[in-house]
Amino acid sequence: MIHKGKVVGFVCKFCALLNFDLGPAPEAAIHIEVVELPCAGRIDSRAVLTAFEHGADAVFVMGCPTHECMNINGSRRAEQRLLRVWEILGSVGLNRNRLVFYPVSGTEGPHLSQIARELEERVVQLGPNPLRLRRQGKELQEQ
Amino acid sequence: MIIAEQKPLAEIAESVQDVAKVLVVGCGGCVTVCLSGGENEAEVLASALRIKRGIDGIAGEVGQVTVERQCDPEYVAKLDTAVDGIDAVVSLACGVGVQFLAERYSKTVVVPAQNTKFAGGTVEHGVWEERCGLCGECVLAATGGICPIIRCSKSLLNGPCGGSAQGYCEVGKDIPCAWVMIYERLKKLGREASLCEIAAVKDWSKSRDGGPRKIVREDLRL
Amino acid sequence: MKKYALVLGGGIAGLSAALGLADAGYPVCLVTEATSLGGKITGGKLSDFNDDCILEQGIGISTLHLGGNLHSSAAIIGSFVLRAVNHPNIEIHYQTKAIEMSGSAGDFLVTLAQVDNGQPLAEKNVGVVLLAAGFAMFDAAEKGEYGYGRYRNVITSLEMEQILAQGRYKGVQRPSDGTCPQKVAFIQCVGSRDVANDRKYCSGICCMYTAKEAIMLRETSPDTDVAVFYMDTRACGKNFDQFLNRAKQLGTRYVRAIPADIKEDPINEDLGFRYMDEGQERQGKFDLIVLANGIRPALSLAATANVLGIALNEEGFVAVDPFQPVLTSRQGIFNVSGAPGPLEIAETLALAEHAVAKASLLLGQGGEEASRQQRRLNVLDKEEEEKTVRTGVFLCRGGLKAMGAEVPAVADTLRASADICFVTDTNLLCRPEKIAECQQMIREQRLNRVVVGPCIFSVNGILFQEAFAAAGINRAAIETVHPSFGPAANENANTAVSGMIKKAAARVKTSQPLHWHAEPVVPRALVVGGGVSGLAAALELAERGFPVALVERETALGGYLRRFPNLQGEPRTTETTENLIAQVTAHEKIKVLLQSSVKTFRGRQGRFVAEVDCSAGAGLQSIEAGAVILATGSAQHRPEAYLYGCDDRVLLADDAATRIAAGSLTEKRGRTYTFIQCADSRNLIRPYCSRTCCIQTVENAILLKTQDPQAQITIFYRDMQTPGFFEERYLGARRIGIIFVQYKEENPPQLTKNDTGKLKLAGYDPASRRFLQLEPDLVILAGPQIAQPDAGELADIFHIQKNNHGFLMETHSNLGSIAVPNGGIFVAGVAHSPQLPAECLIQARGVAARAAKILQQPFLRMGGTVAKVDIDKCAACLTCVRVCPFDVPVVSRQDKAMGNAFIDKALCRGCGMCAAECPNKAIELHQYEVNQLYERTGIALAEVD
Repeated sequence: MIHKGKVVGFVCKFCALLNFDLGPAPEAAIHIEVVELPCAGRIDSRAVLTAFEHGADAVFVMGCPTHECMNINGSRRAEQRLLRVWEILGSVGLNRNRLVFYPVSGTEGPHLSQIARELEERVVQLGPNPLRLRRQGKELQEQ
Repeated sequence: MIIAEQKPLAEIAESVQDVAKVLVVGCGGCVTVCLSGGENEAEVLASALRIKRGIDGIAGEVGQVTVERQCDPEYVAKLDTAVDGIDAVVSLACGVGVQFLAERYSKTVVVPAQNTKFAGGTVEHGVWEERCGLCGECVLAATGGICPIIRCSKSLLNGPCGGSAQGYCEVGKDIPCAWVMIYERLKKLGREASLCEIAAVKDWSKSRDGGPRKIVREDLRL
Repeated sequence: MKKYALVLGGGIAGLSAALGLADAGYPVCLVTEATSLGGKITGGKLSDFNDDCILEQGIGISTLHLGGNLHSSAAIIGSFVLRAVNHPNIEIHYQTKAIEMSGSAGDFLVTLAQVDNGQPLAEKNVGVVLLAAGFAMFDAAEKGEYGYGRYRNVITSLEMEQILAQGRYKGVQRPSDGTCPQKVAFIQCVGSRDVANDRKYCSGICCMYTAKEAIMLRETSPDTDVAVFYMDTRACGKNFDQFLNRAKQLGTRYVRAIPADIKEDPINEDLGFRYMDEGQERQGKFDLIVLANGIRPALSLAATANVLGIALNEEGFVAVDPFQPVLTSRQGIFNVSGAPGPLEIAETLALAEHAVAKASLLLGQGGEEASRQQRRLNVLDKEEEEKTVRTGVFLCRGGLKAMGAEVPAVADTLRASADICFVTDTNLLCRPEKIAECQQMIREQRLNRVVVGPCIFSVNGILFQEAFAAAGINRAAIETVHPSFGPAANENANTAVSGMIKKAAARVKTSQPLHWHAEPVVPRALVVGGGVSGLAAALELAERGFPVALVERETALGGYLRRFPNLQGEPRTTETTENLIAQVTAHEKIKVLLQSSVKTFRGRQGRFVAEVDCSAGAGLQSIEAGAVILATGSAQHRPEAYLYGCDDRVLLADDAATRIAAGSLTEKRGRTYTFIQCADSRNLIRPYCSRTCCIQTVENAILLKTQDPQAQITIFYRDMQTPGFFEERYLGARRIGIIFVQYKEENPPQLTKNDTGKLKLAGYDPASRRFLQLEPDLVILAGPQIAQPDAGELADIFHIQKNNHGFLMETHSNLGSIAVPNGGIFVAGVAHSPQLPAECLIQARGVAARAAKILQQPFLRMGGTVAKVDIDKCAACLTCVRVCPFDVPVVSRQDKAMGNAFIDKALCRGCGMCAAECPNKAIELHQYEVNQLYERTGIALAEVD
């Protein structure tokens, strides 16, 4: 049974946000919300952690492929920054796979459906955010 | 500046796992410049602790605040309101800041979030190297601006040891031999002859081996 | 009588031209024979799906075709329609055509009439005419053997577009029974490259739009098997190969065969055909077949051309000189699309820009109408903070319907929210009348925050921002809700949509006003590169009165074409290059700096400062320019294959071209010539097509054969990239006896030398399944064009990007306008990507027109989303200084003795990296401030009731 999985995406307004217009709205069984960024490079480690604090089951960061970033190294810096966040996730007891970086380029056409399906699979596999479960007074699932 | 490195999160979390209200305090001084303990890191650490404690089922809350520096009493005093009611303070400052906080908030547990490593500088963004050993008796004038206490693995004062090979230290191939560097620098300055002067045995009591050091400037005291 | 610029045709070319002229202040009369604007972009109504949305969800052929980094999305192109409809300088006439015209350039008299009954409607005094006739689609029914019109499940590509667009919300459904097709076949070249139906040319766009449809299909319905039946995959534009590869990666099968006919199973209406796959006969069974039908001249073009008195070419398109494609045979009438040959969107827009520039010259100074720039400057966003937040929500029924939500339920939920004080709903929200109503409501209700939506077109956000800012709201306080991710499968649509809007209201509550200021513009252009593209761009700008500094690192102008003047066997190239060099050298407004190169570069759109090293003695010169055009060319790669460099008889195509033009190769008669295409190209290292080589090879081969009819010429190719009208040259080559042999990448021809020194070429021909043995006297290799070896350094100096293969990159959201974000820097010519000289000229002139638009403004509005340093928190740690990709922050002592970082709001590009990296959170990026991001994250995850 798929619970109402919650996913937050931090999406750069160039490649990524435009890609949203290109494809059909995917039929995912998870609820996906988007926080717009001027560039993936603006991604804040704390913002990602805040998302998990608020109970996100998965978080993704979408930016231009690192060599295509309009701001030269924004996408690359974003990915670098996420390395640390992945480490932190590991230390706090959240599965690292809950955070994904998607480099998305317009040169490859619409990606949205593929990504939404992928996220759905991830959320199903990983289960709900243990923080959420705890708040709801449920037993923690095996990670 | 003082370069510090964050302790593993697990260690920090463990040091406050038995208390309910935690306050993470960042420092706007050296640790901000070496990117390990400023407001950004304070927020990240607080958030990470909240998540971990949430998952581990530890009740309580974790807040964060940052002050300009934790090594001046006026700045430390600014934390009074924030610390009021807190069970444990996690300080991101260097060892100095942690102690100043502990002194002022003697009824509150104060734990360090960082390991203070060395006095050094930025060699490239994200890379810091030790340069100064705080030995209390600087000999840089004689060594062309290269510190033999720190940059020489053995802290020798009068030339390289037998382990120096191809300009590198026997301790590690990535450590250039300080005395080779000193020689070459002095040669560039035309002062290599000074190396023939023997430096006297170092008075380590001026360094960390003479007890806690203190400086008093009578001309500045209020 | 008011003198208009008349634009005939409401597709993207016409819209672009109309907007260009209207923005410049000229009154425009936009005439279309259709019932709505958008042409192929909107593709027509989707039955009863959605009357409340202005674009009715119709998304046409090229819209989603994503070439290069031009993320041409429906939204952006859709915004052209909306801007045109809302523009005060544009008068639109639907279902209208021109039936009579008299006068001369600058002073025409045109009679407009109704399309259906010819009833005259109006007489207009017209200064210039821009003809944007576009094209019609080949009537697939003419290929009766495919059953279009008889078999319900044989559809055209446009029809497929509509099915895919609906697929967004309803799933992909095939026409006969509404089931999701399990096996789909695309058949290419329907009505193109078709001698029998007298359509000899290649339509140019079909390979790519089929790839797009295949990608969309596989994305939406990963279980559907998709096969594409083709002759050559013509993915020869920038990054097109990458796009095609994605289609293949997603599982699309490409089969090199074209079926002769299609048969239908009358019971389940499934389809089948036989085809040859490498000599083997196979049977294909499909439940849906898409015919990639080609283009033909617009149906009314012949009549219109007659009225306008301009000539058409053999194929029925507007007759133009490929080197001056905007000029028709009559002065004052400009061509904006459909010629020379089918154009990509990027080229079309470049052409439109250039046509607008030329037309403006003829029309003279801008009209009394306010230009867009003036209107924008007049609107001062409100900047003071109000005490009470009053948020209004404007619901669009079109968007609600698209998401499956109901108006009353959503509106009621919203009215109950504490954050929202006013809710109204309407349809077609983006129409000018509705917008005016909303503006009125803003004033009446004293709103200071607005949420609009839901709207499926994200670029409408800009439209709404401008419109409501005009009503007195700071644009940071206006949020448009885009249902990028629709309601989840198990969610109630009403709840989901209300949730989205409530969240937007919560977000907008926290917005801070954005601030702008005016910065002066330096009215000079800097052009880097003196090849044909740089020359053309420089000349265009100089002709418009702007001083140009042209920096060229060689000792003479002309670039590649100076060294290899005989491309394509086309002497006009040489002539054009020489003309351009002469004109540029003589022009008083162009300063040519030879043996010079740019060493450092800083600044912003409107004022860049470049340090140019003039090795020819003048030393380091500082040049200020408001816009920069990079036309730095490309380089040749010496293939490491086919004995190149080891034998004099193996030549590179451009060397050969020179000798062929001189006639020296055919001095000995009856020789055997072998051309090998894609030599060391389109492989793992260089996986892109260099576009010009097949065309050049065909021309060279024809020239050889004409010089010596006894010559034996064989061309080994992988895909013959002869799009557009070049296809006919390919046909011609085969007719005079040139043999074309296809080879696969994994099985290339082998060239060896035997003991007696004879060259031996062995190649496998998949069609006959035979090995061919040749003894060529000469082997001519078509190698790849590569980026300049120092393209990386150039990119670093100018703070721009290059793509995977080193070619300078353009911005994403910028369709065809070759520019980089935050504007001011343009790329033109082969520095952008391999292309033909004529194409370079189109691009260069389009870019010059865009640059001119910047330079002609005395002031630019800067600011908005920029970064600001809180000097109290700044520790002067240098992180932002090091991290900023554009070298904007500096540490200064002006405000604080200790020093702090300072970010010039005129220079900041708003990427936010400094804000993210600042260890003390001392930098805020307006509109993406630290707290705003955390709040938005919280809002995103809030539970919605």
